[in-house]
Amino acid sequence: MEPLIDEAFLKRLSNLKFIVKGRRKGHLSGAHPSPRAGVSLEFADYRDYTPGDDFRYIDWNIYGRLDRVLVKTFVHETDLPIYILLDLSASMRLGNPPKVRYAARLAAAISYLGLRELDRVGLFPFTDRLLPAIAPRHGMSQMAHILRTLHAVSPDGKTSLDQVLTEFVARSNESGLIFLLSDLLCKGYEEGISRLLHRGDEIVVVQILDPAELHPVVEGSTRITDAETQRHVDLTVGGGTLAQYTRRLTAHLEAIRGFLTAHRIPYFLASTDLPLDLLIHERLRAGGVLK
Amino acid sequence: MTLSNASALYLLALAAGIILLYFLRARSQRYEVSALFLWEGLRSEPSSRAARIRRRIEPLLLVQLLVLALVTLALADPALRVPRPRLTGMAIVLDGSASMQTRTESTKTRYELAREEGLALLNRYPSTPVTVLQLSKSPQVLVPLTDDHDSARHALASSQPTWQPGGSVMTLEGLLDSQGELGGFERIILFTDRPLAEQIPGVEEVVLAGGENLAITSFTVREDPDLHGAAAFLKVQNDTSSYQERTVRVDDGSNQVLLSLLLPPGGEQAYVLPFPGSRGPTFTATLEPGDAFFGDDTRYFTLKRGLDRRIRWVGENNRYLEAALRAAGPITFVSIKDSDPVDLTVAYNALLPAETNGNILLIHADLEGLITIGEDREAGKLAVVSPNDPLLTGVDALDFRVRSAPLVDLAKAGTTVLSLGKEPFLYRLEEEKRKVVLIAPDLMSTNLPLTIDFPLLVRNLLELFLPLPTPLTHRWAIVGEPVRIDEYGALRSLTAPSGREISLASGARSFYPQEPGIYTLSTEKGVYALAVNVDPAESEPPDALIEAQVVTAVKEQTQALLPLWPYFAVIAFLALLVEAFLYHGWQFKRWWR
Repeated sequence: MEPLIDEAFLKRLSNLKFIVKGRRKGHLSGAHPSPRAGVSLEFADYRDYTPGDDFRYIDWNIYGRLDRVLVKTFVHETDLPIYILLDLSASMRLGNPPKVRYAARLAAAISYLGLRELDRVGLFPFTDRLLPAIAPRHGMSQMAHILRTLHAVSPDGKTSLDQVLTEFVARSNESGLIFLLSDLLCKGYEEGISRLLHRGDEIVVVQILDPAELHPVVEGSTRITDAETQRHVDLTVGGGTLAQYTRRLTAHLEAIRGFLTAHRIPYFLASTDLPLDLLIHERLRAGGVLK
Repeated sequence: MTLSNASALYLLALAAGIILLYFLRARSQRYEVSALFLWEGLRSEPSSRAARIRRRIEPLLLVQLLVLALVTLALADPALRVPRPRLTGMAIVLDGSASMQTRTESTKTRYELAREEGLALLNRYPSTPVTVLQLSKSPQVLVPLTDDHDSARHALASSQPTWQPGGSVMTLEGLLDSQGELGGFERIILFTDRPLAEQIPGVEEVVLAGGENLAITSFTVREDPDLHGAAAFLKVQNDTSSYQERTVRVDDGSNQVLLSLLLPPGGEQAYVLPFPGSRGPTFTATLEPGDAFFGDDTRYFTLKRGLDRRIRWVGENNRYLEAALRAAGPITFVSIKDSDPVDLTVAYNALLPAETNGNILLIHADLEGLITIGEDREAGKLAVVSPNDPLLTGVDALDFRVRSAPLVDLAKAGTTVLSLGKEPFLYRLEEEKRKVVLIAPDLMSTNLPLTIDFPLLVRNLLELFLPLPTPLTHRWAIVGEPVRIDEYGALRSLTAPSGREISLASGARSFYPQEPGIYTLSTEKGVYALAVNVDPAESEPPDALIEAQVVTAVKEQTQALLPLWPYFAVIAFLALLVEAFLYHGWQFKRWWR
């Protein structure tokens, strides 16, 4: 099978970083600001001197002007847990290339970016439940672990986002940056996302669709079969039918966009014919996810 | 195209089943989607259903029917008649007879067309061992059996037709046998303008016709005493489909006569053409203007005598008489000791023995037992006794002057043409074995050598002595057939009409002429002209009915069966692929992207 990422692709990612809007309490030092003061080059605030403070941080200029002994505090930079939620329901195997392939490549890129910034990256595949996951860890050995898993993925089963996200919140007790990679062609995602938001996670949603799902190439008497449930409907498809479908799909996508935008969640619609480089270097940067 | 198993065509009835299934089968396609809820409840389009189905399915149905037709045809084992690319052996036989030089309406001769056909055969069978043969009375192997097509092509392109008669069936069989067994040749193709008299198994005859012909089919000349010359007898054949106006010109090298002809179509006409004053010995008859085959437009005839007159001179010389004899035609003086027969014996102031035979001219001379010359006296008055005698043709005898003349004692009464008083001046006598002419006075006692009529008198003398032979003693010599020469004496040289000297072995009794015309034969007895003509059979048109049969037979034999079922099978397979592509076309498109 063709490798998910190659060296040239990784080189092109080398100057990118995640933008984290809030401050998080990480476990280890990292590249993201923490709510706690710490040692870094970035000035945070002043506070009154208390015995035991390091004399090196006393601002003598302030003392000269205000006759108060204040010490400077600095932003504490800590690491960030990054959770990649990868949809592996049966619908993700559709498309050419399959949507799951596109999603796996994107997941690999996200993993590389996170691990390179000394963050902990975890992979959480799901269908209508959470599948065996890779817990967030540091180090490039984690990258190899994630790549092996991404290579071996096999979409199957149904999707139940609300149920999966609820289960995810229950299993991980640390908020972080969550990338939700799914085709989102299902009902019932609002509750699960709300739970994540409530816990304080930063969420990025990338909806991956096949071009044939955006513009179906089908005509005539057709048995439309659901890839996940195997339920079907028989239709004679024509221009009018496709127009109805397009309207219904547009409404679904607008509903997703509307919900996510209302919660200030970055949302990206990626067709599999969109080059991954273009998605990462332009769309995600323009959307404030990367810099 | 032929079908070896035509009963397989009944399988075409399966088309009805395909069409039935087409109407009965479920026509829906399967389309897998990620979310059925986006499709549920959508409105179908029944109004356009029939049209859409037709548009999508009908090409498939047509392709399926096409596949059925192709498979059925393949099972019917079709075959195409095509030339076979390689044979075990091939013999290309060109008819090299004279008539193959006939120019056809395409401006090419029949032989040139045969050469082109032969070259085309070589190109068609590039790796087949081939031999190139030329059939005629004297057949030739142009190229023995070889794989070298370049040499075969060169020999074929450079070959030329002959003037010979056509070869027979036996000749062809012998020619083929010289190159191996007849069965060793998978194809034997004979290009000819005349079908063989009988079919040889395995020999394909390609008849090359074309070109209209008129021919002189017969030509001979004989003496005509009434004209003091000759008469030419001709037969002219018109093988065209219309009346033809032609002129026949008969030429003896010095004089010529013309005859205008109106020749009816499809027939042979005989003509007699007077030729007064002609003595030969060579005659040429030409039909003008020429036609597609010029080999029979000109015919040759020669008298059976030497081109020069052999004269034995006895007695005193006389350069005036000798000059007059030479002026009348080429002469050769032979020795007195030469025992060979001569055309004329001239005795001048001499005595000939009684047994002298043949043509005898006596000038103031004796012939023992017949003519005795006495003493000269003053000549008497000249008188013309026989004014219509052939010896005086064109001669004004009254201009002759005689100073003295002898007394003459004649043992037999002959014809006195001129007299001097009571004595004969010009006298002639014809016996069974000899002709005698006497000019009694010595020429030097007369003014004859100085008169302009003297050469005419000498020419009349020679014509009297040497008449044209009867035509019964002659027959045509034909190109390719032997011509006997031993009767003309020991051979010295033989020259062809083209001027080429023909070398013959010493003691050769005959030769085979290769071209028509006048051959010059030089022997110890003199120089003779020999006329050789193209065989009149070459002028005969071929039988049109036989021609048609032969050409048909050739076409049937020159083709082989090429099985076509593999081609139909491959096309059927490709059509199946097309059918599959049409059916799953949209999936292929997505896969391609």
